[in-house]
Amino acid sequence: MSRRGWDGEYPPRAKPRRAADGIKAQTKRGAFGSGWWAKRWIGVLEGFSLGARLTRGRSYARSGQVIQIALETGGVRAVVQGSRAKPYDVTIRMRELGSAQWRAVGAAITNNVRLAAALLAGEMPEDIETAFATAGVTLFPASAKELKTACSCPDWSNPCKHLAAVFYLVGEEFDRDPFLLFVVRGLAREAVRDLFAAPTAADASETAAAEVPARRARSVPLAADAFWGNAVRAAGSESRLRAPAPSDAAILKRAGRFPFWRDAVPLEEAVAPIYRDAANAALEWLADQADRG
Amino acid sequence: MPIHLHAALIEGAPALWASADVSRKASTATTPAFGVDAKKLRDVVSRLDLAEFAAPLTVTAATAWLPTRAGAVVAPQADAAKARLHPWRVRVAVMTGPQAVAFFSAVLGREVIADDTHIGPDVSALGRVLRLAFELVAGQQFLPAVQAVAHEPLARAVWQPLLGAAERRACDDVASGLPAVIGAFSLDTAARAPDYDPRRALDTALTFFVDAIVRGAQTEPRRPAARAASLQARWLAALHAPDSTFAATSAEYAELSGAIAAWQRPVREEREAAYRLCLRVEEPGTDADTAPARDEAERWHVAYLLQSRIDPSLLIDAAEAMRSAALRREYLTTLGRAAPFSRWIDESLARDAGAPAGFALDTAAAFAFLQTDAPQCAAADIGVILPSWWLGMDAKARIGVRAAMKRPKFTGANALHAGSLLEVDWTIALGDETLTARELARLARLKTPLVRIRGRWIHVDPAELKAALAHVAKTKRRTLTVAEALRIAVGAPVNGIPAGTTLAATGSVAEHLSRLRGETRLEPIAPPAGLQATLRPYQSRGYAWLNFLTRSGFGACLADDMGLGKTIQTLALITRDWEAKAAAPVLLVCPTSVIGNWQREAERFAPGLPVHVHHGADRARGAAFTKSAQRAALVLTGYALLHRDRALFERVEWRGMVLDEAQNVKNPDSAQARAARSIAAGYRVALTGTPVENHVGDMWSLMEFLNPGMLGTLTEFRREFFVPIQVQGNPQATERLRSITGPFVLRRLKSDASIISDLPAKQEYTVTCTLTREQATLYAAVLRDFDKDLDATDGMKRRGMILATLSKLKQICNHPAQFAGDNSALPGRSGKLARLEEMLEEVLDVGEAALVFTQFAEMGELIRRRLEQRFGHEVPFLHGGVAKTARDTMVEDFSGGTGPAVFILSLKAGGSGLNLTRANHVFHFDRWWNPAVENQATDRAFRIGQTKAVQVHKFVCGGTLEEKIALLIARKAAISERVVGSGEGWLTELSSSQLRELVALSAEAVAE
Repeated sequence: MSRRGWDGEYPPRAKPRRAADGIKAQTKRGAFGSGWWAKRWIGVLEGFSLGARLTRGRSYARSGQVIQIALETGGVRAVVQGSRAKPYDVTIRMRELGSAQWRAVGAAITNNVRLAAALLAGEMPEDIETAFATAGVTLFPASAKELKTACSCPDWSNPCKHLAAVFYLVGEEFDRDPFLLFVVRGLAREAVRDLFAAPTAADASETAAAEVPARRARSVPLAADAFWGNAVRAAGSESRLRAPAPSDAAILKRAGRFPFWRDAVPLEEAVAPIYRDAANAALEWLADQADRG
Repeated sequence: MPIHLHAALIEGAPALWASADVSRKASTATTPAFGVDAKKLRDVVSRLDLAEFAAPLTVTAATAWLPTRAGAVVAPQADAAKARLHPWRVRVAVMTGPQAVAFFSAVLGREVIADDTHIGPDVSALGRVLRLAFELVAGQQFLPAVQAVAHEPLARAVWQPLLGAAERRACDDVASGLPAVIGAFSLDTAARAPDYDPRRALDTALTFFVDAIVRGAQTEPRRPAARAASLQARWLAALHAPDSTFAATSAEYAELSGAIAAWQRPVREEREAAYRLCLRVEEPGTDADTAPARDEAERWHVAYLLQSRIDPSLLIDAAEAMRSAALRREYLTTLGRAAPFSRWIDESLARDAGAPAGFALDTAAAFAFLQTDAPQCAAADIGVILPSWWLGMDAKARIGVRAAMKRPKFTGANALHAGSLLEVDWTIALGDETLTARELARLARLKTPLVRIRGRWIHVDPAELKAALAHVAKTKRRTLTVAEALRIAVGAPVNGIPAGTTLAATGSVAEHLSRLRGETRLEPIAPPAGLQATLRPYQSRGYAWLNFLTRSGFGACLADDMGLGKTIQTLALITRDWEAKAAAPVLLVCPTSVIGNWQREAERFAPGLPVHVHHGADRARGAAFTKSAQRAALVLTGYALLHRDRALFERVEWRGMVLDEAQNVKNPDSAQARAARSIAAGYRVALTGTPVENHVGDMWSLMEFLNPGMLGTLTEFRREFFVPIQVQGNPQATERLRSITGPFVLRRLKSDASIISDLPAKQEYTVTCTLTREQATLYAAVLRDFDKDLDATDGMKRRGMILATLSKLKQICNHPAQFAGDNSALPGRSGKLARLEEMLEEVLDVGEAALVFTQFAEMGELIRRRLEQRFGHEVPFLHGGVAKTARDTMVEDFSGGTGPAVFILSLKAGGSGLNLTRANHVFHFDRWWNPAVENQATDRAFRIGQTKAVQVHKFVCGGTLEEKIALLIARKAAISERVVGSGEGWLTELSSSQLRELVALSAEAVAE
C-alpha cells in the first residue's frame, strides 16, 4: 500500500481491528462489480475525489471490516469496524423519486419491448437510463448534492474510508440484484413490475379464471377409504416426472450470487459437488426401480 | 397372525407403527393403547433385514387420533358411520433420513414385505412421495434453505425441493392420495385432533426425503464448522454434514432466511412460471437443389416459441403469444431471461421493437449458435429444438470409418467360420455411402463444419474426421475376422477399430449378416437321428438358429415363452454335435430343483446321450470327475456347485456351456455369474423364459456371459444404456441396445400367430423336482419306521399304517414345515416350492396368470405365505374354511384382473364349479393320483372363455413314491379310472414288497 501523499487521516493512521466474519468483497482485484450499473455506482463514489481513502476503503471492503449492511427504500445503513473498539455507523441517503416521476419512467419502458422484456426477466438493461432521461429524471445521483452521507467515525473528512468500503459492497450488491437501485431510489421491489406492465383488464379476467381456490385445512375424513387410504392403492395412479439430464447445477447459476457472501469460495462452487453426487445417485435409483418392475 | 406395518408423519419425519389387527375390542381408558408394543415393532422392522436398521430402533409413545366407535378403532374395511376421532396411545419408531430412504425404497411397489408382514396403504402413499423426491433430485430441482427449530437457539439447514409448474401438478396428484391417518399422530397429548391438510403433509414429507437423499448421496461429507464460524459458514457446513442443525439466534435465523429468500427469488420466479422460451433451429430447405446457393450463404432461421412447462408438447408461436395480453407478458419475460444467453436474441429484441419472432443466421453463425449458444440456453432451462443430424441421432448423417470387404473369398454359409479372415478396404463414409475423394477434399477445406452433402445437412466434427482419416491412412490391418466384422455390423465395440465404424459386407458375409439380423430365414437343418421327438416347426427354426450362432462364434440366448420347448431345442443342438463328433461334453447349469427334470428329459428325448449328473454329497471329484465328464455328452450341475466346484469345471475342455434359467446370473457380481464367465467353453447358450428385453439391467450380465465386451464395461453400460433407457426413456439408446443384442436373443411368444397354429390348446407336463437334503433325511427316517412296522401289523391296523405313511411321505415331498406342522421358516427347504417360485416368476413376468392346486389346506397356507413374501403382493387362498362372501370376492378379484395373478386353491374347495379362465397355467403341487379329479380342477382354467393355450404342470419329486405312482398310473391308464377312483385306498392292497419298492428313495432324488 502506498504511503505517499496525504491520506487525510488524523491522528496518524491506526490499524483497524480485525472484524470476525465481516462481509468480504467477492471482487478480489480490479474493479468492483461486473455489471455496468455497479460501475456507474462506483463511478459516483469516485467522482468525490477521495484520493487514498478510496484505496483504504477498498481494502476495508476486501478484508471484511463491514459487519452489517442493509439496503432499504431511500438508502443504505451499515456498521463498519474501524480502529476503535466500537464499530461505526454509516448511512447513505438518496433523494427518492416521486410517484409521478416513476409513472413517467414506467411509460417510457412500456414503449420499448427490449427494456420491458429485460426488466420482466429481472435483468437491468444498460439503456434503462434512456427511459429515465425520457421521464426527465436520473437513475444514479447526478451530483453529490443528491446524496447525503454520514459516518460516526472521528475522521472529519466526509466521505471517509468507511463510507467508501460500504459503497463498494453496495456496488457488488447491485451487481447481484440491480433492482435494489430502484429500491434505494424509493420504489418498493414489488412495485417494479407494475410500473411498466400494469395488468390490463384482459389480464385481470384471465388471472381470475386461473385462480386456484385457497387451500384450507379440512376436517379429518373418517370414511375408511380417505382415512386409511384403501382406495388409493387400488387406483394406483402413478404420476411420473421425466427427469432431465442434469446440467451441472444450472439452477445455481440461475440463482446467481448469494447476498453479502462471507466466504472466499462462492456458495455455488461450494455446493456444486453435492448437486452432481445427488443427481447421479438419484438417476441410478430411478433406473434400478424402473428395472425392478 | 398377520402384522400390518403403517407409516405416519410425526414432527416432520416419517415414523413406523404396526398393528396386529385393526379391529380391537372396546376399551374404556381415556387414551387406550393401540397397535403392537415396542418389542414387536422392532421385530417387524428387523424382518426387512436392512443395514440402516442394524442399531435397535428408538420406540416412543405417540398420540394418534383414529376413527373410533363404541370404544374400538373402526377397522379399515368397516363402515365408518357414527365413528368419531378419539386419541389412542400408539408405539411409534421415528426414522432418520437414511432409515426412511432405505425403508421406503425397499417396500416400494410391495404389499407384503416379509412372512405375513403386510404394509398399509399409508406406507405405499409415502413411498410415492419418495419416488417424487428422487425424480426432483435427479433433475437437480432442489435448493439449500434454512428452517427454524422451535424453542432452541438452533436452526436447521435443509435441501428443499424446488417445484415448478409441472412438479406442482405431480405433487397435487400424490397429495390427493395421502390417507388422513398419516397426519393423525403427534408426540404430545394434544387436546384436539390435528387438522387434515394433505398438501402440507406432502410438502413436509417431500422436503424430508429430498434432504435425506441429497445428504445420503454425498461422497465426502464435511466436518461441521466450528461454533465460532460465521453464520453462513455454519449453514454451509450443516448442508454438508449428516447433522443438519447449527447454532443460530433468532436474529441470525431471520437474517439468513431473508438472504436465502432474496437469493432464491429469480430462480423460483422462473421455475414457477407456466411457460418457458423454446428456440427452434430451422435449416435451409433441402428441396432447393434446383439452384443451390453456396452453403455458406444459406439462410438459417431460429424461431421463438412459448413452451408450456406442464405439457412440453404445447408450443405457441410468437404471433399468437403477442396477441393475448397475459401471454405477451409471459413471452416478453422469457425473452428477457434468455437475452443474456445469446447475443442474437438480445439483438433481435433491439431490432424488432414491436414483435420479435426469431432471427436469421448464415451458415457460419448457425454453427456458432448450435455449438455455443444452444447448449448454454439448454443449461439455462430454455427449450431448444435442434435438427436430429446435429444431435448425432441420425446414423445416415454421420461421417465415419467404413470397412469395405474387398474380395469375398467364401461362398456358401458353411464355409464361413468365426475365425475366418476377411480382407477389407478402409474408407470414409457418410452413413453407409462411401465418400469420393473430391467430397473428402471439400470436407477437409471447410471453414464451417456444417455442410450439405448429397442433399442433406451434416455436421462434420473435425476431430472425428481427423481420427477417421488417420485410421484409414495409418492402420496396418487389412483383415478382420468374421466375428469382428459381424460385431462391427451390429454396432458393438471392437479393439483397435474406431467407434462408429460401419461395415460394407458383400457375398456370403452379407448373407451371414442378414441371417444374423433375422432378415433372411435360416436354412432348415435336419434334426439329429438320435432325437426321439418330432420338432414342431418353430422348434426346428430355434434349433437351426442355435446351431447357426454357435457355429458363427457367438453366444445365443433362447428366451422362448415357458412351454415352447427350450429343453428339446437345446437337446437337439447337443445331440447334433455329439453325433457329428463324440468329443468334448457340454456343461449345463440349472437350478438344483430342475436337475432331475433335465435328466429325465434327456433320457426321454435323447436316450443315446451319455449324461453325467454332478450334484449331491457323493458327487465325483478330482480325477474321477474329469474322467466321467470326458466320457459324457452332457454334464448337469446346479448353480451353487458351479461356483463351489469351479476349479473342477475349469479342468475340463467343454464343447459348450448352457445356462438354464439364466436369470440366475443376472447379478454380475454374484459368485455364480463370475464363475459362469470364467469357465472356458467352445460356445455359450443361455435359456430363459423371462422377457429379457424388459430387464435392461440384467442384459449386461447375460451378454457378458454370452459375448464378452459387446456392451462395454458395466460402468459404460450403466452410463450409456441403463440410465438413459430406464430414466429418460431415450429412444436412441434403446435402439442401439436392441441393435447390438437383438441378433443374439431369440424369443417367441405363445401368442405369436405362427406359434399358436403349432400348439395344442392344452399341454400337460410332468415337472420333476429334486428333494432337499432335509427332505431326503426326513423321508429316509419315515421309511425306516415303515420298514419296521410293515411286517408287524395286519388288517385295519396295517391299512391305517400304510395310509399314514403315504401321507407323511407326501407331506415331506411338499415341505418339511408341512410335515412338522410347526411355523418354521420356508425358503430353501423344499425342491417343489423352489420350482414353483421359479416357474411363477416367469408366468408373472410375462403378464400371465396361474392356479395352484394342493390337496392339503396346511400346504396351501404355506404356499400363500411364501409367495406373498417372494412377490410382495397378497395371494388369495381358497379353501374349505373361506366364507361364501369372501370366496366370491376372491374369484371376482382374480377374474376381473385387479387382484394378483396367482390363485391358490385346495382341491376340495376349488376343484369344481368355478370359472377361472384368466389363468392359462395350472399347477398341481401334489398329486391326488386320480386323473379325473385333477382334470376337473384343470378345467377351472381350460374351459369356454379361455383364449390362450393352457399349460398344466404336474409336480412330482423325482426318485420318490410320487414319481413311481405317477408311472404306475400312466402304465395302467385304462384301469386307473376304476381302480384309483376312490383316492389312495387301492395302494393298501399292494403286497409288502410292492409297497417297499413303491416308497423307496432312489439315490438321485437328493439334491445338494
